[in-house]
Amino acid sequence: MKPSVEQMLEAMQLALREKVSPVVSDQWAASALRSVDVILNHLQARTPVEGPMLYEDNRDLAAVLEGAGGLSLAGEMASNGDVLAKALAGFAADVAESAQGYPAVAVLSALNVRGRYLLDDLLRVCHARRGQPGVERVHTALRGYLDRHIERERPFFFPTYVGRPV
Amino acid sequence: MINEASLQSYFQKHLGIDTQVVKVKQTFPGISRQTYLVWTKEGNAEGSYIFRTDSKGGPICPVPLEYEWKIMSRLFKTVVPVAEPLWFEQAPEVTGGRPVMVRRMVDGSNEIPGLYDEGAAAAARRQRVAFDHAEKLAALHTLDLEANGFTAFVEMPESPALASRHDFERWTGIWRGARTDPMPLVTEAAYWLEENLPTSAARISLCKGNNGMGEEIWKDDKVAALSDWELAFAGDPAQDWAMSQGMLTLGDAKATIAHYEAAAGFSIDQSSLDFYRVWEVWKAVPTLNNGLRSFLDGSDKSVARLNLGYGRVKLFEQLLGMMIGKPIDEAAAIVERWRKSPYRPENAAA
Repeated sequence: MKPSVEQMLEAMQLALREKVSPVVSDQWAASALRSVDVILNHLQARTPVEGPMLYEDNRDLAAVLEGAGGLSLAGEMASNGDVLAKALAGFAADVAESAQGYPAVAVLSALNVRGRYLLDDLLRVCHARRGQPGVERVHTALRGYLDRHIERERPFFFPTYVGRPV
Repeated sequence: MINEASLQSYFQKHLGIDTQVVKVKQTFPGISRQTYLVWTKEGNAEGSYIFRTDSKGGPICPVPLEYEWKIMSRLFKTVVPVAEPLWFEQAPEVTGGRPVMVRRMVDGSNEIPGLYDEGAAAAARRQRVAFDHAEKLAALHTLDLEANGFTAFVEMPESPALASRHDFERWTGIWRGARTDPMPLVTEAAYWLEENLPTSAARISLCKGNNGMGEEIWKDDKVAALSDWELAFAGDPAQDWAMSQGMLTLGDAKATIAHYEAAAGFSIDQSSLDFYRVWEVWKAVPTLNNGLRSFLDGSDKSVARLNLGYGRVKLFEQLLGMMIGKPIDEAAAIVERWRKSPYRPENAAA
């Protein structure tokens, strides 16, 4: 049996809190310690679940973006629309490929960023075409993903980053 | 390296060979910009100065130091109390090429000891402090921008009615260029806020940006100098009240606003104030996230910059997620609850 990453982070944090912080009087050093403490909290929340969370989030993203394929990307944004349509198809294929074997967290993270940029583009399309047929349905689906995504990330940042910032 | 020795030769160059730097103290925390208090002997006289420069990774706020210099240079000629700006250099050797602004030190402190004591006398004192701050904001907000030279370099809204739209366009543009992650919820929140932009303003004023407790220099319970002008802009004066850190909760908010309105000669619209309270949460995202760029490229690896530019930004994203789609007055109430809680998200701009 070996200690988990969270246990090791917790031990580091305990050492800093119990042995270092009480003897630090310099305000710059105390501020650095507070910042490190917050980062250690964040890492303890993020490390054990980041991979599965990204995997789930990417599958969710792919489904939502695929559903947005019904939104016509022709018209006044034709050239950008073509690029966006190809990017959406490419993203779906890459998410499917990432499910083969064991994907690295860095790969899942890069894919997630790419997918959320695409979703950001689609949000802009939805707002530019508000009132047109099919747009409201796609927009509702995108909003639904945003709610689920922020819920998945919440334990990484809340209440971890509340409190004195520096 | 900025230290007593390097500042000695720097100040001699500007103030004369008789100048001797006798003490230097860097102020805390100085994550976006570094500020040094410098005390000198100049022959038989003594001097004290504020030496301000960008952090190595550049400012967190995406506004050049020269802008703050220009604002202060023009304000110093008006009734608005600011420290005397002395000189600006774009790339001096002493900072390795980072811009520098030097101003005269103002006698006072950014804290008011005993202000939050209990009892009726302390409460009355807090109200007096709030009234004084309100009078200083009124003086700022009633300046003639053209006559005082601000229109030459401050981006101006086309009309008071378009003030909120102007600020919206400016900051959504900054967000598109500065973001380090797509954060589509922030995009969606911008569309929601766009639907709720105020459509009127009392006038176009020079607004300070962050103001109030922790921002200004106080002496004898009065504002001796309004300080830190990097977020100054031309817009709706109601917006400054949304950024008046702690001033509306210092005394009776309605009395403080009424005192301001009497001094300024115009009213602050409550629904506009609500909007700007929420808008300032949104604006904190591009402002702080901009500071993460230098962390990511390796030019400034400080943990404070990491926490502000990443963790704090994601915390504000969570806050926007709690508000998005709600009526603005409800969203403003959520912001107020956060500000009254121990979390105090407004401290992110420190």
